[in-house]
Amino acid sequence: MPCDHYRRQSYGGPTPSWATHNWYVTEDEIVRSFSDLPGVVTLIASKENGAPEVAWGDSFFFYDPDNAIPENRRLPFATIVISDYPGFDTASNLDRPGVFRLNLAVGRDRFNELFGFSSAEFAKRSNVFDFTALDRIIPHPVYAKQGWISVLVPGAGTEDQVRQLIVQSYERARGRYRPQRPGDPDEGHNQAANND
Amino acid sequence: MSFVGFRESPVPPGAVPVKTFKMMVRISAGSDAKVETLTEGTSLLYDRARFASSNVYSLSDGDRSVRFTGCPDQSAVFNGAVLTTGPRTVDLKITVDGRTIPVKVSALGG
Repeated sequence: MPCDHYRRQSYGGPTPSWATHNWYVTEDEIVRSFSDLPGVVTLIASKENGAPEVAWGDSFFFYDPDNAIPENRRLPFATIVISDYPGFDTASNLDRPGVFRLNLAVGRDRFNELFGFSSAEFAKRSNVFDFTALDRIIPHPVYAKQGWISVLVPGAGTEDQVRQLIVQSYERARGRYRPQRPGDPDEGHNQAANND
Repeated sequence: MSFVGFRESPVPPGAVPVKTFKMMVRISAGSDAKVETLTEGTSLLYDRARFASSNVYSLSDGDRSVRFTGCPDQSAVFNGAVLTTGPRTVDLKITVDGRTIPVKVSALGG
């Protein structure tokens, strides 16, 4: 299994049975896309960094150009989740082999543009979405109300839009960032909650 | 090289030949390792061309052993699974640079 086996590629042989397209974007590729953005701090949850077992392997992306925000105060603007959170977030059946979900905080306005209804209406409209479908832009099954969107295993069908949305979520996080100043009354609260 | 095992994945109702539990493999830059399952009734599914969104597999969709090669300049993650007819713990034999290392990986909750 070469290192680029999971990278985007056109198959000379049969198209993967799970895909309508013959290529996809990988977790590694997305992680690198974020890491290339100035000021982004990436955290991959693991036993070593004290993350809860359910989150091991998940990736969290923060805008923290000085790398100064205490870890317990950071709010990610994007995540990659690779397994279900039992009892909390199971709608995407992320425990399937090869499946992961990119989640982006795009804000309520962009959410509305993407889906044609406000994030506040998500609860009563959620039944029209297949949260297990690959390569489709969908509301986040848990955090849609806060303006988060998701895509499982981005591929040919969503790649261009996903790249735009990654940049938009990054720019949004950057615009909301305020430098940490010692003694600030809200020290540590320099990233507004992702729920505008 | 590191492994993370996950829960058994839900499968469609009815007769399903095997179950899966996801096992992420991360391999360091420039490394090369062969991973073999020693547990009967299990195989390793890392070939993306065999992934099925239905999550329905047979044991032969996986391989008894898989060789993983890291990228020259960075680590690589392989998002695959153990296919199993029942065992929730697999004994793996890892071969790196001629050395053999036994590793036991269990499905979460198992």
